[in-house]
Amino acid sequence: MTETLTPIRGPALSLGSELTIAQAAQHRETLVDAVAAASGDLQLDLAAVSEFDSSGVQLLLSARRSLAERGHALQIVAASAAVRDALALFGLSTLLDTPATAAAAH
Amino acid sequence: MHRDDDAEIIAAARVGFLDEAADMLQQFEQALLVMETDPADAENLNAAFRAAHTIKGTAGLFGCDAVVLFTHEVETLLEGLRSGALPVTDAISAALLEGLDQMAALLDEVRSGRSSPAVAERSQVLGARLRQLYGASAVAATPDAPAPAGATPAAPAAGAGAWHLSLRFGPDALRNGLDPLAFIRYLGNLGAVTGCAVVADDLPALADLDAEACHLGFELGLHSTAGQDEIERVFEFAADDCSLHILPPDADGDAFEQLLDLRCQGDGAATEALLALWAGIGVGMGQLSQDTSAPPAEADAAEDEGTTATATASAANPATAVAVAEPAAVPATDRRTGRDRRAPAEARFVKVRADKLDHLIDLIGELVIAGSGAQMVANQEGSALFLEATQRVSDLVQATRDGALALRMVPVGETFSRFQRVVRDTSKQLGKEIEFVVTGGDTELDKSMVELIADPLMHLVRNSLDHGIELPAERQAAGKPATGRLGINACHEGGSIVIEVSDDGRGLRRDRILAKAIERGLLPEGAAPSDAEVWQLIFAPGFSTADKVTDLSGRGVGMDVVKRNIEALRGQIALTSTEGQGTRTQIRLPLTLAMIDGFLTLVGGVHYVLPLGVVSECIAVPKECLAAPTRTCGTFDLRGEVLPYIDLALFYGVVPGAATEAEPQRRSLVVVRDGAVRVGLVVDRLLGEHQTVIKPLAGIFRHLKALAGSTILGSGDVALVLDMQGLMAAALQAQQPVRHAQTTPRFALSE
Repeated sequence: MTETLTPIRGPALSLGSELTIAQAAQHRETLVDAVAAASGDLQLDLAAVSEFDSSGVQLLLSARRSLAERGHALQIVAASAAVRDALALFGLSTLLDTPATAAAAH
Repeated sequence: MHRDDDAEIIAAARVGFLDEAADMLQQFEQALLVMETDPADAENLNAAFRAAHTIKGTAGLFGCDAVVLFTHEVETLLEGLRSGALPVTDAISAALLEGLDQMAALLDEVRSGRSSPAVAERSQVLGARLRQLYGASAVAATPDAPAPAGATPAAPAAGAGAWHLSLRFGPDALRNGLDPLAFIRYLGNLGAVTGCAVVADDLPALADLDAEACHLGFELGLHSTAGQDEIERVFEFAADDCSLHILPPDADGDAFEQLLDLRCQGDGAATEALLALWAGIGVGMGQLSQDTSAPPAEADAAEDEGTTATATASAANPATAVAVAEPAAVPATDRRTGRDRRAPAEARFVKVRADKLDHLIDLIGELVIAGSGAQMVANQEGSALFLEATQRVSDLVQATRDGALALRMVPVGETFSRFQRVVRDTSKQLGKEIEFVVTGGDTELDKSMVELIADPLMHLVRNSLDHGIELPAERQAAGKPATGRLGINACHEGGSIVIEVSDDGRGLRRDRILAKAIERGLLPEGAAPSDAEVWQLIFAPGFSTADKVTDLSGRGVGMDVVKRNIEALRGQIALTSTEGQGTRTQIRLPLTLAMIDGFLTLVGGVHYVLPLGVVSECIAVPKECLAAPTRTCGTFDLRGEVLPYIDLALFYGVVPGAATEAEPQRRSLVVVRDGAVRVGLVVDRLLGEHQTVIKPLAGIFRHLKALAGSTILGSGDVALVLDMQGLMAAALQAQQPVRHAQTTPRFALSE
């Protein structure tokens, strides 16, 4: 339950290994802070995610919306197979396409 | 809110959770047992999965991690079975049954608040075994691999069509453990998901997001040969948290338009967005007519009627009703029936605390008493109108009483179903083949009785299993089919319920029982009792427990306890058996313990109530009794038959009424029947039928002989309720000393 969240300032934010309803509220807090702190696009590293459910998808979509309101984009720089499978199933694989501006973020 | 209040609420909810979990476990067990006999029953597998899933979900809410973790393993394996990835094998069903026991053990730990390392260790071992079973057979099929957009499975069979599914999950879906992802993944088993679009219009930005609420909807294309029923069943147990709309492959543009209206409520921007999503997953614009904005009148109507009233909305606009109502209305009604099928037990029942019900029944008991009081006053007043009014009231009170008692009635089948597991386990253990046949499971009985008969019944079932039914080889040698039959049947008979446990096993050996009885001095040497009397010997206390080496098929072990338990419920038990053919035990119980139809009598100024059901006839006191006025017990001649009698006045030590002494001929004798035994009771006066609410006697009266309780009469007087069993026993016992004085045979158990 107490998956430690390590908001890495710098290259990409990692959300730990579980992105499910159990941690959804904590992850939301982390993301709110990260979005507020981000001066540009927000980069997420989801390579370590082994558990991923619809609440995780929802968080990503919501984060994308929040960032869009500020004129920024959400970049998923790395994603595990679990994340890829789920997004593909939902027809959301485009979330994984790193926008061309990725390099320009910082 | 105070923390104490919170704690209290949580504690109450926890009790509810444990109760529910117990129900679910029972359903789970039932489903697993059905699975063993009929592995192809998909609905049954769903039921098993649902039960496990519900337990896991609620356990999660209460933070019972041990339950959640273990149940997850069980659920995973079940999911494999449900999706068809795994075949149902003996190993799997055995492991699942063990898993069920483990879940029960874990829930018990939650209940008691104590956890033992042994149980935790078992969770580990069993969990690993379940995982291994899942992994071992799941190689061939990969249920987890979704059929993503574009991945065409083996060419769709003839008749496959492009279904369109529109899903909107409710806010609580995720919290209830329903993950849309899992549903969509599961759809891949029915065919190919040709496209999926997430509807996230309602999804707020992070700042306003409740991350545990579900804000998602889906528009899906599904290429499948499955029928609408099959697709709906996937979402069956999410019905409360998911609005599902299915358009069949042959749905026309109108149906899609109707769906647009339903989902977008005439909101132009939302309509545009949804159309764009549809275009994205290949719902061709050609399928939609040009006028996508739909007639405004219809949209308004839909809005007024709420979101799901598709059929109503179209009916309000007759112009479109014909085209629209059919495809749109069908899923709506189907889903409703689907829900009914899903959970007859949850949807149609209201859970009420037992003490509330008991309180209601108490009150109605008082009402019955007050009602008869009013009737008595009416009688005294002699007013015809008043009498008529009280008569009506008393009719209603009686109907209310019956209705209230019916509230406590539950089908006995639930009790029977728990034997199924015992039969399964025991027959495996002993190497016997046994068919378990339950009939009359719908027969209803008072809830408190159901709980109390479970143990005695279990004893009878075990006796049949252990000692009655032979091993297959032995059966075949005796010319019987290898598979034995254990039957349990319930039915109503008059005001009683009759439950029968029967087997076609080796039966009882009459000669052995007789020899044993004579050896133990229960019968005199050379006695030639009837069959019924011999079988009754089985119930004698300690009859065969004393000598365990006897192979009296063990029938007698503990039968006296069974009989005592049944008699404590004012019931009777009888047994018949044919050597080599089988044994049949019959239990007869009153439907309720709270109230009876009584027969009111007066003895020396004290009112006594007999259960009306046992009264067989009333006669004038025979001359034998009059000849010995000081004798409490004796025998009399009833149309040539010799029966024992008890003079209640002497028995209870009350002075017979003065009027009685003046006119002794006014006394009466009531013949009561208890099973095969008949006894006469001498009373002063007969007062007739009486609705009797039985109240237990306080502890200080416990030493009183043969009293079952008390009741209050309309006049406010107290009446004592006679305990027939106790009275009979006393009558038969007291008869012994007079044996020498009489010449008539008086074997107590005569027909």
